[in-house]
Formats: sequence, structure tokens, C-alpha cells
Amino acid sequence: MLPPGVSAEEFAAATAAFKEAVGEAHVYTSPEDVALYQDAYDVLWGLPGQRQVSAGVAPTSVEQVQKVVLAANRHRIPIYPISTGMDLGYGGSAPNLSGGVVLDLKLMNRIIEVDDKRHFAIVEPGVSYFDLYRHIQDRGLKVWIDGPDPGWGGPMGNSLDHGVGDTWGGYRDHFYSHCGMEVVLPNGELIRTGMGALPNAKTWAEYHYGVGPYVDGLFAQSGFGVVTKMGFHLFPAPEAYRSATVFAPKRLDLIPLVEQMNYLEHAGIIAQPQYGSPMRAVVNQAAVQAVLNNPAGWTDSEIDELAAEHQLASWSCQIQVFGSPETTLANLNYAKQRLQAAIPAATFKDGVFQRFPLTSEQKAQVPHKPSLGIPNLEAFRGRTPESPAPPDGHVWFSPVIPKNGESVLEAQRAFSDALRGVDLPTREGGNNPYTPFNAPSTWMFRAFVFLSGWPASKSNPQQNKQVYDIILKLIQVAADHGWGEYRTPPAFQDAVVKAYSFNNHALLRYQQLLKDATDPNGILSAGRYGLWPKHMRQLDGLWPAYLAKT
Amino acid sequence: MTNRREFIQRGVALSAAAPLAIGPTLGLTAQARPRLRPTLAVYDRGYAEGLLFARSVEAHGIATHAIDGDVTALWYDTLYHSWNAGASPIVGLTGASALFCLEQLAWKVERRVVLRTEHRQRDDGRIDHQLSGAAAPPGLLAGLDKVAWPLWSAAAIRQLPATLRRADAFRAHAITSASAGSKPWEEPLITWAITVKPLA
Repeated sequence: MLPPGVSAEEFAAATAAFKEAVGEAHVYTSPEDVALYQDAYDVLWGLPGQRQVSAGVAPTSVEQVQKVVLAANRHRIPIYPISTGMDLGYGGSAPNLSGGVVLDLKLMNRIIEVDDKRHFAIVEPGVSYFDLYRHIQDRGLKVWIDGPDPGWGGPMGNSLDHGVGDTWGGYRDHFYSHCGMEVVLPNGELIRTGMGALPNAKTWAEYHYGVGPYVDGLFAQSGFGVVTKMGFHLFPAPEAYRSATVFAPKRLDLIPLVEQMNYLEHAGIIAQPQYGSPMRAVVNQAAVQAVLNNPAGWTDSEIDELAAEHQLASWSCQIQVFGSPETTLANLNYAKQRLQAAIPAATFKDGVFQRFPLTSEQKAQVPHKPSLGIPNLEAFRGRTPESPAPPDGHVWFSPVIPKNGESVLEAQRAFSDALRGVDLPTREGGNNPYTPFNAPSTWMFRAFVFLSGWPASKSNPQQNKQVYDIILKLIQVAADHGWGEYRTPPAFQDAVVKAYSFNNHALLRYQQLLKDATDPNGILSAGRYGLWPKHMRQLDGLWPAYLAKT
Repeated sequence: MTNRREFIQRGVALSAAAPLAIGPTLGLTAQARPRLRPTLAVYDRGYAEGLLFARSVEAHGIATHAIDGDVTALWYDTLYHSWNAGASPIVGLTGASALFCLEQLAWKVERRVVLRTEHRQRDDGRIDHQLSGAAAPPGLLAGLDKVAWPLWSAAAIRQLPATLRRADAFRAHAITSASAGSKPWEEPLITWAITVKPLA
């Protein structure tokens, strides 16, 4: 396969230039090697939009990255940087523009520095969460990583896609907790952002902004540069952890529950709340399904009756606290006090008390390892409703909703109603993933994500088309309610960006101005989050022509 | 690491008469090319078929490692080090999800899955087997009716050449065998081998 608009001769000349830049062994053009860059979870597998890769190029140094970028410009080759390429569920390693060349940064995997007194790390793109965790553990450093689940990706790639995690406060927002970058621009020039622009800077990974306009955001979810180093603030290793679970009996108790958990979290008293519904355990039962499948929808009192019949609470929320043994006990008791006052019928169940560091045996017993900064791959063990064939994968639909109970209840109805009468893929627990028992995801510090997962398939293109159409519908429903996605696979990036249409897509048009100025040949990450090169924007000056059909 | 008591109890329950040295049974003859020498065989202890496979490879001097569906500890404690130190080919019979993880991790360190045999349970209780990867020796495909299929898989693994060339690649073959008599599987099982990527 060739990149679009590139002749075989030009591509041969380009690959020769890439080989000169990085060495022949690190330019991958064989079908077997190139196939590995395909998105393992592509929802368009087997469909016309399935993204293909023409080659991979793996530099080992910043200088090699610069040479590759310059060669790409000379030959007009679209390149697509990846760090570890493990962002499955949101696009993986394949470029938005089918036929592009993957710039694989996996061999740039140095951990430049970890400081456990000032609590930061500086890493290269190929460093994985496992690598950083091992580095910290082997040296007994008193800091934690905050990784996603599963943990096989890397801090740089994850944060540059606005990825999120599970420990404390702002550390869970991985881009928010980054500090400083080094970037190769589309013209091959090397810049450092924030305090890094000061030669011999001592605070590059401590103070974000340097002076003047803060440009770091341009390099996330975009094609403005190839990030070659990045700093991260790290969570100081706590002494102890305590948990408990609060149970709220009624459906509308969610409103005061979230209000209190917000106060406690935003005031720095508790860590990540983990909301759930005990009623999910009975969702398969006929009586429950009868209520959920009522074409007229469900009422709050019907849901309360179901909960009472099953003697289950409508909501649960895990309260997690880090600190010393004394402060964790005090903060947990304070949290219980406030929750009891707000929801008199609430009940509590104490969880665990851990002192750190944990032994290997204790780590193995931790039920949700990312909450304690332990990377793992347990998410791949066994089937789930959204991933019935784990190697085929899934895609996520991830709208951001306000951090209150009212919005959760509204989102449940809005998405559930939108899918009534729609032909849905079969899944355990009922085909409609939206029920009155869906809880918000709380990776973000200051907002909720109302997540749903949908199966991808390597053997059923009809199901893939079905899922593709469903998610396009959900994107529109979300936009109609003022909810935008924070992250999405390439198959949906144009549709999601289209929803951000304030003032005739003014934000996108501004981003395009910057893109055209800094990458006039449009070689870098063409199409990533709707940012297409100028020569491809035939539709309204914003989009490629083929998008007229979507 | 394997539990020998587990082997004896569950492996015998599957196939009491299964011979350990089954090369001659399958009509396999010595190859001119040196064979792959795996440093580790991975099996999922949740499947009796995996135990039988492990018993067979262990009898041929290959160390085994049991997982329970999750490859985190295998990767973090063992493969990270062994793959950094050298070629360290590994083989296994696991669920498809475990191989998916290992394949993604292996790719990052220039290794490839060079043999992949997917085993799927049919509604009638028989097992479909689909092979792809490096060349299979003559007669191997016909040997499936002679032994329990996990032993046939273990024999296939042992026939892989040490140095693989892209020209060795063979197309998938679909064959069917009797079940090895285990419970329903949550996902397809796969017999696999991972080693350094084939030469041009």
C-alpha cells in the first residue's frame, strides 16, 4: 500500500531516505511487519474505512526523528507518531490517514530522571508504565505512577491522548499532570516548552508555564509536532490507604451522594470515588428486564421498587483515602459523617487498611491495582459485555457530563431512549448498555465520563457497521445535550470534532490556521482529531471530500 | 512454575495412555535444520488441555509456567528480563486473550508469533484446529487422529526450525479432532510459539 497521492517511485525514494536516517533494520515495509501496526481494535475492520499502514520507521534519537521529519517533508509523506501504540479502544497504532507511515518511537525509551523529593519524572516516548514502575521499584523511590487500566501503554502516549487513571486528584488527568515537553516540529526544528525554553533550566518538570503563551496543549490529540521528551508530576508515595463503601438506597439519593463526594474530593480529603450500583447484579433477571425494556421507559419509583424487592441499594460508592494511618482514619470518618448527614438512610461497609510499601504477595491480592499505582494486564482476563472476544477488542464512547447526580440520571435516560428500537449487538445483561444502574466513571478530577463500550470484531463486518452507526448516533445525542467526547477512536474523530461547532467551527478554523502555518505540507498526523492538511480540506474548507457521505 | 501433582492428577484423567514420545507415532522424522529450543512453555492452569500440553513439553526438558489467564507477572518477572537478555523463544497453549497480550508485548521487542494453532470447540463436541505460521513437517497434519490433540500440538511445537525464514510460512489448514474431554471454554485456545522475527 502507498500513502495517498504518493507514487511508487516517490515512496521508494522516501523509504531510502528513512533508511539512511534510522538504519535499514528500523524501517519496516514487509507485509508481516506493517500488519502489526494495524489498529487491533479497529471498529472498521473488514469495512472500506479500515485504516492501513504503508510502512513503519523507528528512530532511536531526537536527531533521527528530525531527519525523518525532514525526509517526510521532502517527499510529502504523511507520518503518524506513536509512542508505545497501546492505546487500544481509542485507535491504537494505526494512522487516521490510511496509507500513512507510522513513526514508531518505541526505541526511544530512556527514563531521563526521576526525583522522589520534588516528585517528578522526565521520560522519552517509548517508556511504558511498566518501565517507569520498574525503575521506581528497583531504586526504592518514594513516588507512584498513575497509569491507565490496562497499564501496558506509556505516560507520554497516554497523556498526549488525554488519558486518565485512578489514584489521587489531578494525577489522574495525565495531560494535566505533565510538565514540560521537547518537540520536533514539522519543519524539523527542536523546541522545549515551559521552563525548558530557558537553557540549563532547573525547573523544567516542576513549573508548567515558563513565560508567555503556553503552547503544550497544541501537541496533544493533534499533529503539531513529535514529542520526544516529557515531564510528569508524580504522586508522593503515601504511608497508608483506607477504604469504605457507602450504600444509598434510593435512585435519587445519587444527587446528594455526588454532591458530598465532590466536596470531599475537591477539598483534598478523599481520592477517586468509585461509583457503582448493586442492582447491576440482578440486571439479567426477567422482572428487571421487563421494566428496562418497557417501550415507555422506566420511572424512578419503579426502579426504587425493584431495589426494595431485591433488598439492594440503588447506589454504592467506594471512598478511598490516602495519608498516614491517623489521617486516613480521620478523613474517612469525616467523609462518613457528611454522607450520613446528607443521606440519613445510607449505610457503610468498611473496606481495607493498607500500609505501604506492599509486599509482592499483598500486591497480587489488590483487587483494583491501578488505584494503588500498580500497572497490570488483568483487564484482558476473560470476556466482558463490551469485549465478548477480547482479542477483537472494543471501542469506547466517552462523553463528558457534569459532575452531579442530575446529569447522570439524565444521561441514563437520554442514551437509553436514543437506542430504543435500534438493532443492537447482543450482549450479556441486555442489549442496551444504558440502564438505570449505569454509574459515571471518575477518572477525571473535575468532570464525569459516562462511558459505554461496544464490541469490535475481526470476523463480523456487519456488526462493526452496526456499532459504527450506533456510535455516530450517540455522538449526536450527546451533542444535543451539551456533552462532548473527550477522546474517541479515529473512526469517529471527525464526527466528534464536528460537534464542537460553536461559531461555525471557529475553534477548528483557528487550529487549522496554526496547522497550515507550521505544517504547510500537512505531513504530520493528518486527520488526527479532525485536523486535516489544507490540500485535503475540500468540503467547506474544513473536511476531506469523502466525509460528505457521513 | 508447574505443580507436578497437578500434572499427574489431571493429565492422567485426560489421557491415561498418552505416550510422551510421540514423534514416531506421528511419523515425524529428524529434520536437517536445527530445531527451535524454547526456554519456556506457558499454559493456562484453568484448562486441562493446557496441563496435558505442559506435561508433554516438560517431559522433553522445557520449563513450564502456569498462568490463570493473566500474563502480567509472566511478563514483568520473567519475559521482560529474558527477552532483554537474548532470543529466548517461548511456546504455549493458552486462551486467545493471553496470547493477544503476549503478542503485543513481543512485538515491541522485535519478536513474532511464528506458529499459531487456533482450537475452537464445536457444538458437537469436536475441536476445529486452524494452523498458520512456520512450515509444518510432512505427516504432522495427519497425526491428529493418533493422539490427544494437546499432545499433537506439543509435537508440532517441537518441530519448529530454530531459524525461520519468511519463505517458510505456510497457509492455514482447518482440521477437526475429537475433544480432549474438558469443560466448555470461555474463549478459543491457541497453541503458539514466539521467537525473534523471521529472517528475510
